[in-house]
Amino acid sequence: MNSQFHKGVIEMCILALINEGDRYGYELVDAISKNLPISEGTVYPILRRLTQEGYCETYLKESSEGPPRKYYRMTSVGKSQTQELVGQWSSFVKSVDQILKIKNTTKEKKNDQRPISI
Amino acid sequence: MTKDQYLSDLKNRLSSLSLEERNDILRDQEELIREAMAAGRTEESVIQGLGDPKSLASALTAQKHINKATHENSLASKFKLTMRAMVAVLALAPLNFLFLLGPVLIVGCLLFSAWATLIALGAVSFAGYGALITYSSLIPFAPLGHLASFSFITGSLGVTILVSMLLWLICKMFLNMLLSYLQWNVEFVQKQVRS
Repeated sequence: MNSQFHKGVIEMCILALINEGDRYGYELVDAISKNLPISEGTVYPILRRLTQEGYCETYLKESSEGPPRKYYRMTSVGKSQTQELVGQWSSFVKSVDQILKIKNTTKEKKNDQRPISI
Repeated sequence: MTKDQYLSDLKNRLSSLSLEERNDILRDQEELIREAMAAGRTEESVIQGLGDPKSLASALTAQKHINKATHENSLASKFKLTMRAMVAVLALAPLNFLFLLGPVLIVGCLLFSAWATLIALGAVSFAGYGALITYSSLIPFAPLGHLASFSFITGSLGVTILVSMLLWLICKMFLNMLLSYLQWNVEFVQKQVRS
């Protein structure tokens, strides 16, 4: 996948997933990598940064499968940032689809034009 | 490399970070390896996927210095922290750094000489006051002459102060630009390492 798309999008996906419900690190790695090819090391640094910037907060929860897990939860600032980013993404996708549609209709129009035989 | 070897190697290289930050990163990496293995991945493939602990540690250290320098407002501290960040990025990406070295040195020298000139001008202004007092008897057109000399010296002192404020802003801007470049550099190297 084009790495230019990657950068902002992964962050938005992480925020959106946490917004849905509290998650721990690897849960997010798993959820995202099921759909997008990402390197495992990408997610944790983003989580650290998001926490530093105040978009999420962390808490520890006991786990039956080993040491306690660090869970990430949305802050109110994080919630509005998520809505903002998802909104931007939606309008971006819409605009690009519009352009691609125009390209296709132009193609069809050209195919319909046939020389008039006299 | 086993998980313990990886973590211990990483730990040793993160000595310039605070204890809290270091433990945070180690905890995350440990969880990642453990959970990936629980999901069925082999220890070896996970650790290989994480990349070389050396470059990860260098990138994290450089990032930390860049963050600190960016959020610093005092020019003197900002300068010091930016230099530290530059050294850290040099360790991470030597070739990119050398590419930058020429222009940075040139701009640095220009700014330095600007400061030196301003300090000299300021000193001359104060010397002017001194001379005004010492040689007041020699100044023509008695009171008006003194007033004119005094105004002139104060005017030049004023200009010096205004220009220093401008220069202070310019230096800050330059440091921020440099930090942005360093930030880009760190991200770029990270992409190359993790593909």
